[in-house]
Amino acid sequence: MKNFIECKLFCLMFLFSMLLASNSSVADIVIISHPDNNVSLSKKEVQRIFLGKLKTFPGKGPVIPIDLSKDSSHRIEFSNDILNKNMRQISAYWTRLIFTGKGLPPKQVDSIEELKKLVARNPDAIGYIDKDSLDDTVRVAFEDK
Amino acid sequence: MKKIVTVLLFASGLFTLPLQAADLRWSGFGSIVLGKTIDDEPLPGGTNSTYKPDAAAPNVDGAYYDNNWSMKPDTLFGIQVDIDLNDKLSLTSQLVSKGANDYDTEIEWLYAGYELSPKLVINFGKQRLPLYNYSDFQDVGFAYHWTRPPLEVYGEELSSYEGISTLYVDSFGDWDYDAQVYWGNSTTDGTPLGDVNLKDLFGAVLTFTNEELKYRVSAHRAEVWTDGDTGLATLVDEDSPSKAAFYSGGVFYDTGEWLVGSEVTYMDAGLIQADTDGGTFVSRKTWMVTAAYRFNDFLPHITFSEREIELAKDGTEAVLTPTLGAALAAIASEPLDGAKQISQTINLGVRWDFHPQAAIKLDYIRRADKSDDVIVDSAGKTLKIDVLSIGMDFIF
Repeated sequence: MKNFIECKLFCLMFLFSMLLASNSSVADIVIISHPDNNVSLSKKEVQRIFLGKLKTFPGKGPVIPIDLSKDSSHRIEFSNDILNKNMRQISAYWTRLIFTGKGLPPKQVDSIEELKKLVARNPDAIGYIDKDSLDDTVRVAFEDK
Repeated sequence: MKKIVTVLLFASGLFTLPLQAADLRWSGFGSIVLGKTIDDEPLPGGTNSTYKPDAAAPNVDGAYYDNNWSMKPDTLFGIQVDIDLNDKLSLTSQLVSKGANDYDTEIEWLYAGYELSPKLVINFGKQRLPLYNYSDFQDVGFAYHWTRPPLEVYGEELSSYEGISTLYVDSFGDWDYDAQVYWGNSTTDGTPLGDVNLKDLFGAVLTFTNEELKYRVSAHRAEVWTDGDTGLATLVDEDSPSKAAFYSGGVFYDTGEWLVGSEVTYMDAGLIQADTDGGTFVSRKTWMVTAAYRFNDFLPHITFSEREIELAKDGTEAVLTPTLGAALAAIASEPLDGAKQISQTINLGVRWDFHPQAAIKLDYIRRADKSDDVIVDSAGKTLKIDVLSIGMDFIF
């Protein structure tokens, strides 16, 4: 009898899993670099840089990717559209890397403005913002078309 | 608090990049799990079977699930610190405290890493033994869907070594790969085999990944001997270690919606091969197949796993569970040569990601004993058991 109740509890959890929902998105994301850094990146290179697999600009010096915090809508869109991973996959990916000692995630800032300032100041840095926030303090290093 | 940390990280890591400021990051993980056995086949003496989810834990009561609810066997807490001493040299340490080990805290990792180039890192110190896809983060429940990886494949008593490893990370076309090579020594005290020593442990791991697929293969070898009060210690000692080899291969496919994976291992324990009587030994084959499908925050999953240990005639009883070993010792006249101890587990579970840094898991496992009659007749179905557990995994 007790087993039966425990099994029922289990089935209930399974049924809960059937619930569904959906996501929404914001404006177009562009990858930005310092105005003096005339690098042009491919989508694959952007992915590798932000997933910690590539630590230099192709054929050049070190690259410092800057991420937005996990709850940022830009971060979510960047992950889905450019990295082709949802936030759960991203979270699982970094959990595995951190706790295997194989890598640490990019540093994070809380806002687009902060990110833009950092990129405008450091020729090694790259980040992502929406196209509408572009100005002449930074340049586009990659745009997904 | 989060802001302060971010600011500090930036102050040390970014603005002052050319300077020598140490950049320090703390991260942690834990699991709080409640579980019990809900069905088992009583052993010949009338006692109930128990289930030990962490093979590396000592043989204390707290390490086993029995027919009372218990929080010790799977509960653990770990903390990791990563310190960048400069842009090439880093230190990593991980401390883990396990309920199965009476919450004693142990240093699981302590190593220094040096970046020889942006693609090549060399690590010195105490590190995790990279036997399987899941071994590096086996303690970090949040990183996978089960409460614990299937015991048939991942129930390994050895978890770390002291030595040197190199990690090379590169890519070609759409594929990324990394190659890890290591050398070291390892001692694990208090296992059912006694204190297990591995000398000249040497291995290589190759991993290929693209967006959805991951392939991993590994090969390892070592000289093994044991100390302590077990039958095995008299057969392989420091002067006559035996050569053991271990291989694993895995494929994992993750679309974000579907997650399907399989890992297969083979171990040639070679334990007694080196002995002069010419010849008996233990081999072990294991595999698991898992599938999961994500419905929004819920990830129901199903996993099959099997472990097959092939016995030889002399001394191998010590390799088995203590209960089984004793039973087999009592029937030493039986022809054990080639007999197989087989266990299979089905794991049904669901993971609920109710928070970005925490998940609740419910797992029901049914383990079946398919050992050859010569073993089961004498010892009973020692491996047959059903276990239910509910727990929460978190990271920070």
